[in-house]
Amino acid sequence: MSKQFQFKLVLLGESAVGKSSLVLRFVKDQFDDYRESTIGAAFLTQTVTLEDQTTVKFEIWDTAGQERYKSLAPMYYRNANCAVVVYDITQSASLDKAKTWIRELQRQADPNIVIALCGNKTDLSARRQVTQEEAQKYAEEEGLMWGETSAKSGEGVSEIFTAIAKKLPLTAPPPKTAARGAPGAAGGRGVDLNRQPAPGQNEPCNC
Amino acid sequence: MFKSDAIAKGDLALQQAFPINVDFSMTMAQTRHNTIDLRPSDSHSGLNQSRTELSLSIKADSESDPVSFLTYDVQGLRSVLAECKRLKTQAEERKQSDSPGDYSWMRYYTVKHIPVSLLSKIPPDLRTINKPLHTLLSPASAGLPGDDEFDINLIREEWVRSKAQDIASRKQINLRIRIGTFNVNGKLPSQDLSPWVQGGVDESGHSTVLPPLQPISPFSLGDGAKGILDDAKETRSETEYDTTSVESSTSTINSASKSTLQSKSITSASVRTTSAVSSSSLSSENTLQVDTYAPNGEAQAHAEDTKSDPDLLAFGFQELDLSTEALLYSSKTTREDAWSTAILAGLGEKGALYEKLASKQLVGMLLMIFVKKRLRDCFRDIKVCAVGAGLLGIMGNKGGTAIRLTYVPPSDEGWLARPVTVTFVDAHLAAFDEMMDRRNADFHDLTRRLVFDVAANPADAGDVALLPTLPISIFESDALFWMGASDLNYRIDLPDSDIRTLLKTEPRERGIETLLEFDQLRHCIRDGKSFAGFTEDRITRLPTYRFSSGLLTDSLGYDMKRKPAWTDRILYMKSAGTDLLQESYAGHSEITFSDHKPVSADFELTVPFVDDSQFQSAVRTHWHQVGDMENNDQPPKVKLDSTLLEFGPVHYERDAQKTIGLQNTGEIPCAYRFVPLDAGGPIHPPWLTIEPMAGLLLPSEAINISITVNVTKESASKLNMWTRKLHCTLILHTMFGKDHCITAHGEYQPTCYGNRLSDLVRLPGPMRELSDREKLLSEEQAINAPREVMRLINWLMTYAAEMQDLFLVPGDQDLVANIRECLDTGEEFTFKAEADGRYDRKTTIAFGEALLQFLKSLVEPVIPRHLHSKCVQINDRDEAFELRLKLLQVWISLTAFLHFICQQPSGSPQDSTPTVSRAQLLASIFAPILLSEDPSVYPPLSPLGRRNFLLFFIQ
Ligand SMILES: Nc1nc2c(ncn2[C@@H]2O[C@H](COP(=O)(O)OP(=O)(O)OP(=O)(O)O)[C@@H](O)[C@H]2O)c(=O)[nH]1
Ligand SMILES: [Mg+2]
Repeated sequence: MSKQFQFKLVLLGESAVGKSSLVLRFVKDQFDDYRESTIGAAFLTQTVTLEDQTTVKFEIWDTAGQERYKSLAPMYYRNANCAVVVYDITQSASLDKAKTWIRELQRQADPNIVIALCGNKTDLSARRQVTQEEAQKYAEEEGLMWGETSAKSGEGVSEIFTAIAKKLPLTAPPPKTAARGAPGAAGGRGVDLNRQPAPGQNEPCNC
Repeated sequence: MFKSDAIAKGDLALQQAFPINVDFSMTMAQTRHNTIDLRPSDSHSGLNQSRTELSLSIKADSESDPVSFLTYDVQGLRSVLAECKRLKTQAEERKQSDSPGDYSWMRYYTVKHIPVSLLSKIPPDLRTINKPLHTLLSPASAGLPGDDEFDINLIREEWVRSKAQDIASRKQINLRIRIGTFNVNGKLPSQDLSPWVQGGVDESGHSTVLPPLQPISPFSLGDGAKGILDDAKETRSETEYDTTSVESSTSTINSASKSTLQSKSITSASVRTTSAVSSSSLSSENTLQVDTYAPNGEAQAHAEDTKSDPDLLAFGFQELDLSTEALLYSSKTTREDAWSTAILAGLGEKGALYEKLASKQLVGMLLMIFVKKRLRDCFRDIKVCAVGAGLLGIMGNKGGTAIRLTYVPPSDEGWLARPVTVTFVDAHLAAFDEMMDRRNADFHDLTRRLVFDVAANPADAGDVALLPTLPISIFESDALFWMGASDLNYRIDLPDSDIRTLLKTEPRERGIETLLEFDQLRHCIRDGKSFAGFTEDRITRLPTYRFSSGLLTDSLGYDMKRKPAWTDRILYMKSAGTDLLQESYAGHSEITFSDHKPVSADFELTVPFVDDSQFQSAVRTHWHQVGDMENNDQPPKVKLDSTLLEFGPVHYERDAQKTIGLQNTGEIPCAYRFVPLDAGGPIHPPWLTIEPMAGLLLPSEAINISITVNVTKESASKLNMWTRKLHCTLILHTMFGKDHCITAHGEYQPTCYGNRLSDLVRLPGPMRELSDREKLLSEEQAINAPREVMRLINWLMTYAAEMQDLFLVPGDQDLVANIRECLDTGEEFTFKAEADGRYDRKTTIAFGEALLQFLKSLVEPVIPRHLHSKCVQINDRDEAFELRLKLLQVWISLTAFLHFICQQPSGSPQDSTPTVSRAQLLASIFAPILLSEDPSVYPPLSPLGRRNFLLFFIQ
C-alpha cells in the first residue's frame, strides 16, 4: 500500500497577486478573470501523487492579502508545514510585501516550515517589473524554494506544489488529524523549479 | 329531575328525565351526618329545625344505577313520594291498557334558554375566552362532521356576545391601576416608600416620583397620616380575617353598607368620552373635585387629584412576618397597619385622596387595595380568599391571597355600565431549591384553589344572604393581575458567574435582554407549563434579588451566595375586550431594607362602556334570531363567490391576500367552520391563514373571509428545495349542512433564506433557477461557501465597514426584500451609488439587516450544533482556531469581516466607545445567531461562552 501524508499549506502575499487564483487552478484547474478579494481566508484541499505513488494531501489556507486582515494571518500560518508566498511579477512592490511576509514567517512560524516564493502572472511578462534573477537571488540567500507561475495559463502551478510535496520531509509524517508541530528539517537551498520541471499530477479534488 | 338555575334566579333547568313506569322504584333513608355539608346553610328553608338528613334514591328500571339525593325537607319529600306513587299507579294502569304516556309537558323545559353565561355579569374564564374559537370546536374533518350541535352552541354564544357588545357606546370606562409587589423579608417599613407607591407617569413614560412630604417612619407620623390610619382601621374592621384558616377561605365585605361619600353627586373622571369631550362634562368634573374634598377636612385641601394619579393601588407583600409565632398564630395584623400607614405616607400629600378598600392576609402574604375616596362606591362585590401551599403546605407560609372586585363607574345620564371585574393575586410560590416543576405544580394548585364565593346575580339581589353563591375562579375576570414571587423562585438558568458578568456588561439593556432569555418564568410561559396565557411587560430593571448588607456581595450589591434573579414579578391576563396599557414596570433600588427590591407597574385599563340593560336586551334580541337555529328542518344554504384562489407568484415573507365572499342564501341562520381535509390533520398548511375560521351568518347576510398566504422562514425551509407549486384544499363546513371545497394555488418563488448551508453550497446557480432538488451538485462539486452570503459580506466589506451602527439598527424591509430578490435571482444589486461611490445610509443598513435575517433563517446555525458545547468551553484564541472550522467558510469570512469592522476607528470623535465594546456589542448580536441555541437542550449553554467564542475571532 502506498504511503499517505497530510500537510498544512498557507498562501500569503499582497492582495490581488493571485493567491486565490493559484489555488483555484491547482485544485479545480479553473481560472476566473474576475475574482472577489478573499475575506479572512479560504480553505481547500488537494492531493498530489508523487512518482513513488506516495500521496500528499494539502490542506490549503488561502489567506486574504488585504492589509485589514493582517492581524488574522498568524491564526492561519501557525502550525503550517509549508507556506507559499506569492508576488506579482508585474508589481515590484508586491515582492517587497512578500519579503515582509517571509521575515514574519521566519520569526513567528514553525521553525521547520518549508517556504516557497512564487512569482505569479508570467503570462503578463511584457509588463514584468521583477526579474527572475532578482527574485531567485533573494530566495537563495534566504534558503527558500522559488518558482514562477501563471494561474491564468496554468504554467508552473502544479510544479510548484509538487516540488513542495517532494521537499517536505516524508519520513516522519505528522499525525493525520492535528498538523501540530511538523517534524523534519525545512529550509535549505532554494530550488529552481523552472529549470528542473518535476512531473506532478493533479487529482480531482475529493476532500 | 331539575336543577335550580343559579344564575337566572328561580328558573329550573331540566337535568334528567326518568320515565315513571312499572319498573320505577324509590327508596328513602335517614343518613348519619358524618360529612360536612358544603351547601350554604342559609339558603335552606327554615322549616326543618331537626336538620335530619334524608336520602332518596331513584331507580328508573331494574338495570340502571340508582340516583341519590339528599334533603332536609321532610315535607317536600313527602309530596314527591306521593306524586311518584300516583304516577306509578297510572303507569301500571297504562300498561294494562297499552297506551303510551303523554310527555308533551316536557317540551316547555327543552326549549333552549339563553345560556346563563351570556347574561351573567361574571366574565367568562380568561383561559378559554382568549383561545381562538375554532380551537374549541369539536374534532371534525372533510366528510366527517364533528358535534355540530356543540359547535353551534359555541359559535352562537360568541356571536351573540360580540353582537351585544357592539352596542357599546362611544364612551369608555377608564381605570388607572398601580400595582406593587414587595418581599419584605420580615422587615417593617423603615424607609420612605414613595418611589414604590407613587404612581402616575409623566410624558416621557417614566414614572414620576414626587418628593415625600418629610422623611417617614410609621412610628412618627404626622396628624394627617394619623387620620388616614383611622380610616384604614375602619375599613379593616369590616373585613373578616381568617388567616388561621388552613383551607381556602373566603369572606365577603359588604361594601354597600359602608359609604363615606355621596356617590350620586360624582361624575367620574373615569368615564371618558372618546369623541369630542363636551364642555359640560368637563366642567362638572371640575366642580366635583371641590365638592368631594370639602367634607374631608383641610388635610386634603392641598392635595390635587389629577387624572394621571392611579384610581386604584394594589400592593402585594410576601414574607411580611417571618416569626414562628406568625406561622402558628397568624391572627395578628399589626404589621398590616404599619404597612398601610407607610403606604399612605409614601403617597405624600396625595395619600389623603385614598383609602383602603380591602385587604387579605395569610401569614406572610398580604394584599391591600387602596382606591381614590371619591370612587370608593364604584368598587363593589369585593371578595377575598387565601390558600396555603408550599412545603409546610397547611401552614400557609406559602400560597396566595386574592381580592376580586367589580368596578362600575358612576352612573352617567341614566345609564348603568356593566361592571368591570378585576382580580388581584398576591402569591408566594414555594421555594423548593431549583425544582421548577414543583413551583409549576404550586401554581396550578393555587389557581385551582383560589376561589371566591360570588353571589349568582348580585345586581338584583333583594337579600344577599338568601342568594345562592357560586365558586368563581380568579380567571373569571376582565383583567387578572398576578403579583409576587418567591425568594428561590423563577431563577435564571445560567451559571452564577455568567449572570454577574452579564449584569455588569455595557450596555446594560443588552445584558438584561440576554439574561431574560434564560429566565425560567419566561420559559414556563412560553412552553405553557405555568402562567400560560399571562403577559409580562419587558423587564428593563436589574434583578431584584438577593441583596445583602454583608461583606459577601458583588459590586452591584448582590449576595454572593445567591444567583441574582428577577424573583419579583407582575403579570396580567385580560379579555380581548379589555385594553390594558402598561405604562411602567420598574424596580426600586432606593428601598434597601429588604433582601428584595420592591417592584411596581402602572396600568391603564380601558373597556367600552356598555350599558347593562341595553346589553341584556341586545343579548335577548340577538338570541331570538339564532336561539332555535339547530331545530330547523331546512338545511342551511350558503354561496361562495369563488372556490378557486390563484395567488400567482408567492414570495418569501411577503403577504398575498385574497377574499372569499360567503353569503347565507337560505332562510335560517347558518354557522360555519373550517375543518381539516384529513382527520387530525391541519386545517390549512403553515403558509396560509384563514380569517375568520368560524362564524355565523343570518339569512341573506354576507361576509368576507380573507385567505392570506405568507411563507415564513419555518415554512420556507420545507418548501425551498422541494416544491415550486403551492397547492391546498380548504374545507368550509356548514353546520348540519354541506362541506364546501376551496382550492388555493400559488407559484412559490424559492429563496436562499430558510435553508441549510450544506444545501446552498450545492446550488449550481441562483436559487430561483433550481428546478428540482435532483439538480443540486454532488457534495464533491460543492462550492466553499454559498454565493449569496458571500455576496452580502463582500458588499458590506466594500461599502459598509465604516457604518458605526451597522447591525445595531433595524433595516428597511422593502430594501431587504429587494436585496433578497437579487440574491435569489442572481441579478446585480439594483441600488445606485452616490457620486462618491458610496451608498446611502438606508441601503447600507438594509444590507446589514439582510445578512442578519439570512443567518437567522438558516435551518442549522453557521456553527453546527454538535460543536456548541465544545465551543463554549474554549478559553483561548489558538484553541478556537484549532476547531474544525476549516469547513466553515461562512464563519471564517463573516468573522474576518466583523474583525475588520471592530478595528475601524469610531466615526465621531465624541463617540468614545472603545473598540473592545464594539466587538462585545457585535458578539452579543451575532453569537446567539451563529451559535443559535437548541431549544431542546437543557440546561441551555452559556450565552457568555458563545459570545467569548465569537470574540476570539473578531477581537
Ligand atoms: N493575467 C493574470 N491575471 C491573474 C493571474 N492570477 C490572478 N490574476 C488576476 O488577478 C486578480 C486577483 O487575483 P486573486 O486570486 O483574487 O488575488 P488574491 O491574491 O487572492 O487577492 P486577495 O484575496 O485580495 O488577497 C484577479 O482579477 C485575477 O483574475 C494570472 O496568473 N495572470
Ligand atoms: Mg484571494
